[in-house]
Formats: sequence, structure tokens, C-alpha cells
Amino acid sequence: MRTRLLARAEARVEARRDPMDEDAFRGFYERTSRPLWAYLARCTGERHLADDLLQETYYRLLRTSGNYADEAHRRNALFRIATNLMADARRHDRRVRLTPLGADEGGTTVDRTPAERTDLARAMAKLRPAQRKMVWLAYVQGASHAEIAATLGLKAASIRLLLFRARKQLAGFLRSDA
Amino acid sequence: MSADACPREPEVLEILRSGAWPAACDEELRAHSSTCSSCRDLVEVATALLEDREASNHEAALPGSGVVWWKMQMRLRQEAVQSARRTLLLVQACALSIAGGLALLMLHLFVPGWTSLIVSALPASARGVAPALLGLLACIVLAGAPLAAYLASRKS
Repeated sequence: MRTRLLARAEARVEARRDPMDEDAFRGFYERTSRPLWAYLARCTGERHLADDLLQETYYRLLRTSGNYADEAHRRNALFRIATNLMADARRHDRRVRLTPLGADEGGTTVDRTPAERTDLARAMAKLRPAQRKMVWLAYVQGASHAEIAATLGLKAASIRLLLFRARKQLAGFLRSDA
Repeated sequence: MSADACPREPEVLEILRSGAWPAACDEELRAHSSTCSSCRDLVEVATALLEDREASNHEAALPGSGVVWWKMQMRLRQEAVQSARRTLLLVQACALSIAGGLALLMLHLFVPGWTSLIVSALPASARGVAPALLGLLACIVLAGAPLAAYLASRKS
């Protein structure tokens, strides 16, 4: 009986593997892991936490064994899982604070100076967690209002106003920090 | 605060996200964004965020997809095996409970005076309710033990 049960468990793992095989996963991971890490790192402010949450996010996605219509749906699901994990991490009283990512390290190859990036981190830190996620999803990920609503668990109709407010606040913080 | 967003925002955002801002953007749109407060906010915020994303992309030291896939499969396998073990434990605990119950039943049927041995050891005041209490205790132990074992394995 023990052998039969364990064999059934193995079969369940195989069945879960069906929606996304190794090649599909690897391709999807290559395309999405960096944007996802940036989202997690900026919204939590902790790169180590972002590393942990990144792996956990992909694990949860694989475990759900959902059949998504296309890559966009799968990507939305990925960001939704990441958003929920960030909320869980906050709830479990893990340290979620914003630090200027990259400001303490050399070697970044972008136009913004570390000081300017610190300003952004400081400005983002003044926003509420949901606002941070919202502006990132809208302006970096290019998510639609409906997608943002689904990811954050809010009403689609309220996103327009909430996003407008968040953006206005962030612009104000950026100007005042500058 | 009302969301009096500018109708040209999607156009501005598309150019920003394509990386064409400001060099490859037409003069008229640039002039508009410098006068429209909504578009000005959008340009400021989106530029900062997009540049931050670029920097984050360079900073991220991510494990390879093959390593992640392998880890995920190991974890899924481990989880499935643990779940099967829990089920097995529950089945075994139930079997033990049923065996215990049957043993008690046999004892009751074939050794009629066995309860009086226990009851006589109790104080006189408790002797009246002792058989009922013993029966209740046996039921709780027999029914609760498998459940407790299962819950304990879930927690561990």
C-alpha cells in the first residue's frame, strides 16, 4: 500500500508538470524573471527577500497547474502570485522597507546616478504598498487597469483614480526630494 | 482629487516605454507634455521607474532557469511524497484505532468482569459513573488518536 501511495504521489507530480514542460518553463523564466525580480525588489525594498519571493512565486505558479490561454495570462498570474506573496510577507512581519537598490554598489550602467535612484527609493517609500505596486505595474509593466485590478484584488473602476493619485503623489515626492 | 487625466497619456506612455523619449518623440508632443501637468507627472514618474527597472535588471543575480526548474521539481516531488506519507499515517492510525476498539469489544464479550477490576480500584463516590466515563474515554482516545496524529504530521 505504501508503494502504491507513493507511486500515486509521483504520478501527481508528473500530471502537474503537464501544463508547462521544462522547455516552456525555461523560456518563460528567461523572459519574466528579471522584470519580476525588479518588481519584487522595488516594492519590498529588500533584494534578499526579492530573491526568496522570486523562487517562491515560480514554485506557486507551477503548483497551481493552471491552463492559461496565453503567455500574457500566465504573466499576469505570475505577478498576482508575487503580489500576494509580498502581502503575506508583510503580514508575517517580515522586514519590508525600501532601501535604495543599487545605491550602495558601483557598476550600474544606467543614466541615473545613485543619488537619483536614492531619491526614487525614498519617494517610493512614502507611497503605500498598494500604490507602489500600482505605479510599477502600470508604468513599468504596461499593465492595463483591468490587469492591475486583478493583480491587486481591487475593483477595475477604481484603478484610474487610485493610479492618478499615486502618480501625482510620487511626482510630488520626486520633485521635493530633488 | 479628481482623475482629470490627459487623453494623450497613453501616447506619451507608449513612447516612454519604447525608449524613444525624448529623442525620437515629435516636437509637438514634447511641447504638450511640458505644458500639461498630467503628462508632466507621467513623464517624470515613468522615466524614473523605467530607468530604475533598467538598473535593477543589471543588479539582479538570478539563478539559471535549469537550476530553478530542477529545484521546483524536487520540491514538488518532496511535497507530494509528504502528502502521501500523511495519508498513510492517517490510514495506519485509523487501522490501529479500529484494532484497539475491536480488542476492547472482544474483552467486553469474552471477559465479562474486566471493568469491575478497574471500577473497584476507584473511590466509592466515583464508582457509579465509572463505566460510562471509561467508555467515553475509550471513544475519545480511539477517535481522537488518528486525527491528532494526522494534524501533528501536518504541522511538522
